[in-house]
Amino acid sequence: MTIGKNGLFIPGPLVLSKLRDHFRQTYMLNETQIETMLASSSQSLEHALSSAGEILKEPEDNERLVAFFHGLKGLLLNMGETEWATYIKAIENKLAAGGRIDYATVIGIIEGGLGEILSYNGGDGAKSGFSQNVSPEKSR
Amino acid sequence: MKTLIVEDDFLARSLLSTLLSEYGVCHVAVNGREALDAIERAFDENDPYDLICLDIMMPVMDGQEALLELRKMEARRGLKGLDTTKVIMVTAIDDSKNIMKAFRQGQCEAYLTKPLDRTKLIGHIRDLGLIE
Repeated sequence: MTIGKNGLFIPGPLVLSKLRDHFRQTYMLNETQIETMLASSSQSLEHALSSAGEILKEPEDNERLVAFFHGLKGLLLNMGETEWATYIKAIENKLAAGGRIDYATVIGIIEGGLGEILSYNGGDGAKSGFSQNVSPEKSR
Repeated sequence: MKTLIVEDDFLARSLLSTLLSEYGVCHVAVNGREALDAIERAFDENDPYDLICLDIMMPVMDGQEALLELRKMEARRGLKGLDTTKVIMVTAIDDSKNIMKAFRQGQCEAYLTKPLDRTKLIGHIRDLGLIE
């Protein structure tokens, strides 16, 4: 963990094996489901960060900035990345208090720290998403 | 159990869908407006959702507004009390104002904050009598 220019603690880089363990232990998923969640994490992050460029063109639009960081925080929490979620929460708080943030630097830090999952391309069909299947035996 | 997952984040949708598809069919919507369309269609087809997992902060229409609209829709259809749809809020918003609003105005059944907790989620669904 290091201290960034914004005065916030920057967590260590995400480790893919730790993320796998999180999905395995927290949600009791099997290996196929874990691969799907890794691909979904990658896709969600990619989507969030690609929207960041557009949002940062209008840094005065506080509502969109809050929504962006809030969404990112929720995503990181579901990924079990509590230190990164805390980092984002600190930015959210600073934003809410009217503080100044160097957003381009922040996005760069996030992209760097989460690089391993952002570049994840998994195995065959890993990005096939989730099922909408039925298992009526167990439903009431 | 027929479930509607309302979430704008892909990972959260994937997680909820994977966990809940074990208990029945899961449909997804990415914002409140899309959710209301799906809910209305399900009512029209006489095959309503048993459970709705609803995020709050979403584009187009947020979860709080969607929840209030759902209750109005049910009231128009004469549904009340135990006949109304069970709703579990699943959100990263943990301030008391939002929690109270969801329970008092929206009459939600449960409020879960992210990270998603499998045990709590399944526990609530079991308590609601939707699964054994």
